[in-house]
Amino acid sequence: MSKTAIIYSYNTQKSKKVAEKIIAAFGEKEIEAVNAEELNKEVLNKYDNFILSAPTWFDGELPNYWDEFVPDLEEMDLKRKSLPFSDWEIRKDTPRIFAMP
Amino acid sequence: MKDLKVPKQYTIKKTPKETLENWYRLMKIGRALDEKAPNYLKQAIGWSYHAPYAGHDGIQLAIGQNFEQKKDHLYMYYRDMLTALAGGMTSEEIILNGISKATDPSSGGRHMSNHLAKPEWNMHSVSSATGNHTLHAVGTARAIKYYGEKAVSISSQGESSVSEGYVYEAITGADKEELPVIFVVQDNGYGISVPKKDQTAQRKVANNFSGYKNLRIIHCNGKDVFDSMNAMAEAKRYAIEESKPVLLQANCVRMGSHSNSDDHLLYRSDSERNYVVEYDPLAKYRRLLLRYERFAEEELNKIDEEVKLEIKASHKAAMAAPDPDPASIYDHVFSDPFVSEKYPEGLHNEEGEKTKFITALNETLKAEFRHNPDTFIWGQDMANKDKGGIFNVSKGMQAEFGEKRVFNGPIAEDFILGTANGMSRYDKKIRVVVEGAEFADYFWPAMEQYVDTSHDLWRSNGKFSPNVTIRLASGGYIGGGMYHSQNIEGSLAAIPGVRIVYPSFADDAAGLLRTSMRSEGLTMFMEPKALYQDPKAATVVPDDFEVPFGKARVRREGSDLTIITYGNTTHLSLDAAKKLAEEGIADVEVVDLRSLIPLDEETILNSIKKTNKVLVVHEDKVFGGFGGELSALINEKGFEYLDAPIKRVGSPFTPVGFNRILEQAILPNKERIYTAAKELIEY
Repeated sequence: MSKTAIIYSYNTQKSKKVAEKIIAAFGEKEIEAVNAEELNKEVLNKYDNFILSAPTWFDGELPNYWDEFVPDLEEMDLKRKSLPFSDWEIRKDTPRIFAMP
Repeated sequence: MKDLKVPKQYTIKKTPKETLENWYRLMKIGRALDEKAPNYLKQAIGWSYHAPYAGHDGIQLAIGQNFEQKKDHLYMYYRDMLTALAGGMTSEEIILNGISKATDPSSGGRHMSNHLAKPEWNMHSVSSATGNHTLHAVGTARAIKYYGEKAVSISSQGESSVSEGYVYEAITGADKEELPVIFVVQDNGYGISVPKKDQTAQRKVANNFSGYKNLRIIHCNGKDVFDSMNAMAEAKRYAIEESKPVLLQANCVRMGSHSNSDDHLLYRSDSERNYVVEYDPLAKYRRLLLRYERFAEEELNKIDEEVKLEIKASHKAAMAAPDPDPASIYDHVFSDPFVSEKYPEGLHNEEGEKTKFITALNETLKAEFRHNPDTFIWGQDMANKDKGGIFNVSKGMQAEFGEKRVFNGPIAEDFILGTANGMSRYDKKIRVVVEGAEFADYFWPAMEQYVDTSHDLWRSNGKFSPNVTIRLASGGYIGGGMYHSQNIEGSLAAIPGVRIVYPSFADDAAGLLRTSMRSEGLTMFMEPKALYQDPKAATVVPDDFEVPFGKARVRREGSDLTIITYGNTTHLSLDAAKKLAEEGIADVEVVDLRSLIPLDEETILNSIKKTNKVLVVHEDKVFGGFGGELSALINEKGFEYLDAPIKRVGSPFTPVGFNRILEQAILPNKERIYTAAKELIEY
């Protein structure tokens, strides 16, 4: 059975609330929460499907914990992985705060 | 919007270790200085202005590392400390600048701290007026393109500076001329306390330029070393290979206050201040080095210790450096003038056919363009088929010298002068002549560049002389009203660092123009446009005539009264003197100053010694006009020679009216000069 992770920083406010709502909607057995700040290749490899969440303050850039993981992520084989993006609060052009893939 | 075409040349995994180490060391040195700078102020040693760069580390490292000394040209702003270090300056040089020592390579202690420069490497001296150097970078890029060099001109600045009109002029000009310039906008979200939402509607100001035809816009994360390096390397490659400009917007955070005179606690929330510290680019870089096992913690700690020792040694050396000598304040106010061997007094006895004032200018310009192939001229209405200058002073020049040396400028006076300044930075052999505006009346938008250019030699401690002649069609008597009649020399003369000449006759116009174009430095060449075609101003003009700066010319000798004048009123004064002589009232001496700055005090005082009475005459307003300075000078240095009060004739304190009746009521004429002279004679 494929496993799904919702990955977000446990230190966020809005991202955390939305993640919890998604988990509640699917049920805890369907989705596992993963703290983005503790993410590494090994953790990611445990799952098949991902919902990624990243609050992007100010100018829409990734938080450090995501950004610093990108070099590893670029080398991973994600062919059989499914990554629907959580994109709540995306506003037109350049919002102050929004979530992005 | 991310530019996905930017190649990932630099990554944490693939960048050579020695490069990573060099970057880390530079970043640590920079941050150490950034944090140490306020201590110098607290101890009253100096560094009273410091704009911390922490939060801009990625992009500043990238700018400096992509700058090639003596080939590229770099214009840094006051927050660019790491840019300077990454471009090659040492920690000692940064401290010398911070505490304003005589050996400070940026200005010898003359310019504010944190304004870093090393002109000998093409790290140019810049003003504090934010974004003002954008125009200089464009002018330098024009020279790079003209001389076919594979180099780039870089203008670095904050995002708020883009609100300045001249920045739009610069980017528009670079786009139009397809110049190899990189405009790096370091966006930390604030202009001091003003958030960027109060500056422009777009959150990322670079996007305001998305409609420009030749400009490539690249966004990068200025907090990230690798993203910044990749963006800057691609910007440079593109600018050079395509010969087109790039606008590189780097998103940064400002971890501290704007400067040490600002307190961001007054306008930033706790969460925002925490956020920006959390996004510290140096801490991130260190984490990456460790996470991807490029360095062990011990290795980085060792570098940290070495940096501490370096800073300590630099501090010690800088503290021991000499302070500037107060006697040096007069050094480098003016650049070296051309010295005339054949005409040391600017006089000649040539006879022959007379040449009109306008023809003398035209022929001298052409002769000097033939003499020096590195001479350029531009301005509004400079060249289009048979048109050559608003008054045709430059007629025929483009046909002879080509459109790369003689060309139109946009209707943007600040751009015209600012790019002249920038182009002359490329090589000291270059001489630029600009028609500063269609009329002197329209020169005011260029005043910020005028002031800045007037400072360049002094500010750079003699390292950069802007070799530029500004020509301005000046004055009235043409029925032009208040926007085609202004005399602005009184205002301009209040600014040190510029020579101002104002000839009245064709030969002096030719001689002074030749001297201006052969000299180093900035010269304001004012042309009384009413005299262009006037037979009264026509004279015999020797082909090689030269008039040194600061040499007045006695146009009529006399013994009863001295009239000191220049420009249009020289002729009116001569007419008045002639009438007084014809009526047997007085024998009046008329001194044509020719140069206002430098001023020929000797000729003025010698004349007054002889006549004991003086009338100062000029077209400009009496109140606030240059005659006020002349009067004060005579009062200070020639009072004992005087038998009567100094009298002045000029315009009243009003604008110039358009109706000829109003113009005549305002501008000085022969009768008013005659009357004033007669009163003095009878005193």
